[in-house]
Amino acid sequence: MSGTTQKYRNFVAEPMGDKSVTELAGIGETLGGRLTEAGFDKAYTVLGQYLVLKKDEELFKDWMKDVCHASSKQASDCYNCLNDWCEEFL
Amino acid sequence: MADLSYLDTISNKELHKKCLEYGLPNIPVADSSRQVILKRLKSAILGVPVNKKATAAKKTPRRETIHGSKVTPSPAAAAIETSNVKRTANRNSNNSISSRRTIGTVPSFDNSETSSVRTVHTTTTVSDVDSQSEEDDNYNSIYRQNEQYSQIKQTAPRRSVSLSKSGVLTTSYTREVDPLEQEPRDSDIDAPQSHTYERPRAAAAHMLPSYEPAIERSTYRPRYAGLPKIQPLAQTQLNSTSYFDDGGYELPEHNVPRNTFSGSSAPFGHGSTLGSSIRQRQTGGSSNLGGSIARGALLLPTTKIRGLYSQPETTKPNTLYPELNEFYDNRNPDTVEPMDTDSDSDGYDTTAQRTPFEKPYSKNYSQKLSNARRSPLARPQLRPTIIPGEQESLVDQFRRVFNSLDRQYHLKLYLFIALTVILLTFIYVLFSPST
Repeated sequence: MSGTTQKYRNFVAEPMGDKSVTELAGIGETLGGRLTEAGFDKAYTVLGQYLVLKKDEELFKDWMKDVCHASSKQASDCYNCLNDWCEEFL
Repeated sequence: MADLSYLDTISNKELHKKCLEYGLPNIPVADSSRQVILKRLKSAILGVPVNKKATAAKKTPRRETIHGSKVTPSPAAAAIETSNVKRTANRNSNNSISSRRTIGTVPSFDNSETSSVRTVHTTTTVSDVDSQSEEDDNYNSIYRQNEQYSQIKQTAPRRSVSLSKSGVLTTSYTREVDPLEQEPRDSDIDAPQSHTYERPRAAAAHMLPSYEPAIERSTYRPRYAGLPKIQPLAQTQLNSTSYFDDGGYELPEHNVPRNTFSGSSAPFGHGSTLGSSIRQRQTGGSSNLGGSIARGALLLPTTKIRGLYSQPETTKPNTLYPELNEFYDNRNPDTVEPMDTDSDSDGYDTTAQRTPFEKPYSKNYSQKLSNARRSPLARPQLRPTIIPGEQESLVDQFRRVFNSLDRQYHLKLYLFIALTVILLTFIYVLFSPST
């Protein structure tokens, strides 16, 4: 099990508020741009999609791959980030 | 595929119903999630899981691998040692697994099992990764010793990997580094051959007249430097210096079966076969030597000798064994103290070596010992309590005390100064004009 990144810790440490989608773990500038083009410019919109998919890991990762062409690792990082955030604040 | 093409045209509500029909989770279908749900629905209809394999592989916890490690190597797995061909086949399939199997089977040394059961233990642990390479390196050597050990330890219980490794290392260590301790365990397998005990070399070196003036203690020191046990060695050297060969008194060889590493030779005139085990030192001029060459000077350590009985030809200081300086400081070259046979300082002595030789010579040798110790010039005994009933005259005791005080406090010098001052005072009083 690899350690968590600083980006992950920063996101999970506090309520997301109006954070940009690029502050999600696994979402960089490239994926952030694609998500913004698809209408997911804020982190809470991605969280909404995550909740719409009922926190299903497989569906969420597929959605990530479909929307922004994320890799498996990027999708996994984003899922873990949102999942842990939900466990902490939801 | 023609049947599935209509899914792209149906509405989200109908798509949701389809999902429920095929047993998919009740997930609301939105525009953002429509594509994902369509993929899932198509795969469900076709019965071909799209990402099932990857997901299942990722969802598999690592505990399964750890669980595989908990499978204790059964006796069947020990059969790897016997079949080289099968082991090679396993290594071709998976190197890591085969090496771990090797680890698991090394301690067993069991050849009695068949190799058909080995396929059960294909999942092995990751916890042995640390010892994996080491075991791979040692595998060949261990396997070579396998036949030897299997004969001995076939009935032995199964040991862990670490124990087997340590056992192998201990065996090699005992064989190489500490050959003096002839452990019965090693002697069972292969007796360690100690070259330091080879008597003929040292004896021949000392018996040669050409060597006598040249040999010094310092030439022997390097042999002792690497030895692990220094303290017993020092003690044996001390004991070995105390022998005196005074003409008619022939030192019994067998009383000194000491493994002292001193390299000293047996007394001259003793050509018996027991000479190979003798480690003793001759000090002072020996009539057996047939010359005026001080035999002991060749073998004595080159210490800085001071004091009343100091040796005029002092040589190099004893730097390697500084604790011996004090001991040798009191040495009188004219007198020799016989070795204390009752001493237990010889760490290498064994009762098996000593007992067969003590009885025939005990009476004669003890007499010699007591005579030598009663000598007025004998050096101070380090262990006076060992010899009970030893009586010394009052003059000897006083002389010894005086000598020791003189050595420590320069008593003679102070007495001389005091006497001089007193005499000067008397002279001054006598010849000075009285007032």
